[in-house]
Amino acid sequence: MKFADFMCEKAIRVELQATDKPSVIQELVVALVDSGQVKEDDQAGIIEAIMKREELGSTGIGRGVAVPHTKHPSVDNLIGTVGVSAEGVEFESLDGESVQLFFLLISPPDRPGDHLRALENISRQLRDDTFCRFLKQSKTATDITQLLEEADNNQFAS
Amino acid sequence: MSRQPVGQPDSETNALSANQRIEQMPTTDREKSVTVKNTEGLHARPADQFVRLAMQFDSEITVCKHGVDAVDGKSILSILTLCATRGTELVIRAQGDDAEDAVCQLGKLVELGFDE
Repeated sequence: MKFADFMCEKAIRVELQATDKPSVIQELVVALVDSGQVKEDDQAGIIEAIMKREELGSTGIGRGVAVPHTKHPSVDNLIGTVGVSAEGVEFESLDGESVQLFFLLISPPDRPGDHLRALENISRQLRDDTFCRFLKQSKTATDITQLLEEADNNQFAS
Repeated sequence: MSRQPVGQPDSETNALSANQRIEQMPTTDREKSVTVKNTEGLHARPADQFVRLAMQFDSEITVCKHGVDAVDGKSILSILTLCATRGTELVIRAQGDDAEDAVCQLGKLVELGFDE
């Protein structure tokens, strides 16, 4: 699975205002609503579901990256967006570091394989330090989209 | 049966004791094949559980999906790259003093479906 298959460019946020976990999740879900990927009526339910998932264990997987996610019946396909926080947000990550880079994912309940393939793609690409660093330094949504495209074309991780 | 002449080195005996020394080295190498049982597969939370358990062992731990190179069993990013859906067969390998215990406990975690 490639980034282009699930990433919504219009919902990418490079200068996150949020400074804590709930507000980061809120900001990114609102971005998906604003870009037309998610209905406004589902916003609260999705945020709640993502927070519930975080209670089971942080999705901060280390290296300043988190992948907050949930399954939700309101989506027919896996959708996702990227958020960047220059300051970093405390996210109770596995390695204790604050998080600058967020990949938020919402997947249909009946497609666990797609969710795994998206996680596989994200984690494989993030093993490349350059890709990870460039994403965190991105100043515009276009920068992010370009980096994701380059990653899709195998210009980073093997 | 010939006796070894006094004063001549017995090369065969020396070679044997060298082998014995190798066998006595503490490093053990264990492998266990397991099948992913839980519906959701090895997603973020099970991967986290696996890595946390793996870190409790001194042994080097790798996980291999058929046809794919073995990945570091103590790195969540690496485990997630396995994309191990339900039914995937994984080979857990440990090398070190606590290898036996490591493959046994990690294997059990996967086989029991991560309590999902």
